[in-house]
Amino acid sequence: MIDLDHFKRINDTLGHAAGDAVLARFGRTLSAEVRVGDTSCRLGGEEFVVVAAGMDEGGARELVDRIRAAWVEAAPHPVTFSAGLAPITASGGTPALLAADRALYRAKRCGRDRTEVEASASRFEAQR
Amino acid sequence: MLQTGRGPQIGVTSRPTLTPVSELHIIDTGKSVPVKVYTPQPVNHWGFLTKHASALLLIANEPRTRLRDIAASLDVTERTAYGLVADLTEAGYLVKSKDGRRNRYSIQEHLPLRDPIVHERTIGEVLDLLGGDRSAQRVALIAGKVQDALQNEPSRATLLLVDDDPHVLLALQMLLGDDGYRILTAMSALEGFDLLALHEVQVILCDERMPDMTGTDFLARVKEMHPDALRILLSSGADGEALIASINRGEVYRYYTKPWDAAELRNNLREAFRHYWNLQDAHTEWRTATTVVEAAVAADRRSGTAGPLRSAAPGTEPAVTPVRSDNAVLAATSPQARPGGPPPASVEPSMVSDTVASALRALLRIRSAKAAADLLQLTAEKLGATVVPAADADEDALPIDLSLGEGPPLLAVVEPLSPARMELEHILPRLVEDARHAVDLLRQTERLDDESNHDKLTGLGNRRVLERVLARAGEASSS
Repeated sequence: MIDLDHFKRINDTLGHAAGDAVLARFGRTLSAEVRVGDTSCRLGGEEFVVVAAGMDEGGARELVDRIRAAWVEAAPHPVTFSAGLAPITASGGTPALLAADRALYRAKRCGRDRTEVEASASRFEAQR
Repeated sequence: MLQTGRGPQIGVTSRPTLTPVSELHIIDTGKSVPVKVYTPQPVNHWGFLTKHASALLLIANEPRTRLRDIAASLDVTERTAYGLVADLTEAGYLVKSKDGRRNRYSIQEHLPLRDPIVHERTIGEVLDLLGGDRSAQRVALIAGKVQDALQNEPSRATLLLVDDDPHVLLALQMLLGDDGYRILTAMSALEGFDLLALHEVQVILCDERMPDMTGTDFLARVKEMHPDALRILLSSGADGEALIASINRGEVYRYYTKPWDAAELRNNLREAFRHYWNLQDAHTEWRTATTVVEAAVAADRRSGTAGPLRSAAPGTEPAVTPVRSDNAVLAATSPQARPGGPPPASVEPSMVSDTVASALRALLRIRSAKAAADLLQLTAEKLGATVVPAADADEDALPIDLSLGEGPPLLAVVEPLSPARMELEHILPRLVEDARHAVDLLRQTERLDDESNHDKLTGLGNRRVLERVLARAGEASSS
């Protein structure tokens, strides 16, 4: 799960047209960097999700780094993003999405422009 | 002598038991209000309608005075059309007003056995035929001719008899003449083909030994051209191997050995017609529903609007209790379904058509090709088959793949020469075709969902796409 950092500032300072241009460009960057067969979605606002079947944590980190590098080149305005990673396990896709959301929240809290990993939904539950 | 093809010798009107009083004449002036109807006496006894499929509805555009004359000669009483319609409806007939005009009616079908009596003729035509002679006998004769001319009704229960022996044909006609079928007779296979080309036939009763072609060969060719018709063979009892081979190829639905048991043959033919209509109704319902889905797909494609397709097509919701999975639909409506268990010993036609109907309804609710394949296999098992991988099947397996391409081919194995076998031979090919159609529709609606579920700004999927992908990914990682 990926969320653009301080996106609201772009809309507020440069206008909604500029904001939309950033979102559209980020969408294209995502599509270009994910593997064939992976799914990338925009959940609304500046929040995006990539589902990469069969990819391990190392692969996922590499993918995010690749997206980060491409985005530095492609971004029409300087905007960073935070990412939260979580594995899809037998407990299903929805718990994985919630876990990725928690990882993303951690990345935001730790200063943004970084990637955090939630190893599993169950471990998180145990920690609480 | 006995004639074949179209003509007054063919069909119910040629039977000698018909008396003028068993005719129903509804004579509608089309001008005066209220509409008057003329019926035989006594009018409060409608049993004759169910007994004789020879009622006539004559729609007229003639002056009342002439109608009164005819009514007098017919020995009928005058009453209102609405009263008559009410009585007919109560007797089980479906009575429809013509083109929304309240003074024109047609009796469309008799619900218990479907002896549709769609009889319309202008009174002018009938009067021309009557000429000056209005005796009861003359009227009955003309009524018979009009009825003959009207007998090319496609929904009419039609039986084709094929036998080179005219005595057998006559005996069968006498036996079955009161059962309300339109009976076509052919004295050779060639003549049988001609009649099949001209008429819609639901049940075929055919002799095995004929000079130009054996009955089994005839029915084998009929199967190619009219797969839905129920094909019944009359065997002399000495046709052993050819008959068994034919049954095993699914060309014969039932067979009887001469001399036949009259009561049994009559009952079974009645049963065969009912079975045919029940299956036909299930498929008609299915076609109607799929047409609605197709229309909805087309409309969505044009408008480009998003939204779950099935809720946009209310007609596709089958009249079954909503349940969670496709298989549960079938299980809920089929308490005897025991996948993998021993097949039922005998197969009741009503159970068969119920099973097919519920399978078709469930097909409308499938969410994956795998679910459609599972449903097919469960249905085959419910109808008495054991479903095995093609690799493990012996030569008794039906040569119809039930896997729908989801995994290795699966065949239905069912005891040779059993009633269950004959039912499955008849039903499975069409059911597999319908299942393929259902999968095709599912793919179309999914594609449409994909098209309409994309974020306009970025071109990426939206939340709905994500939910579906996540659900699939969850399934994949749990298996």
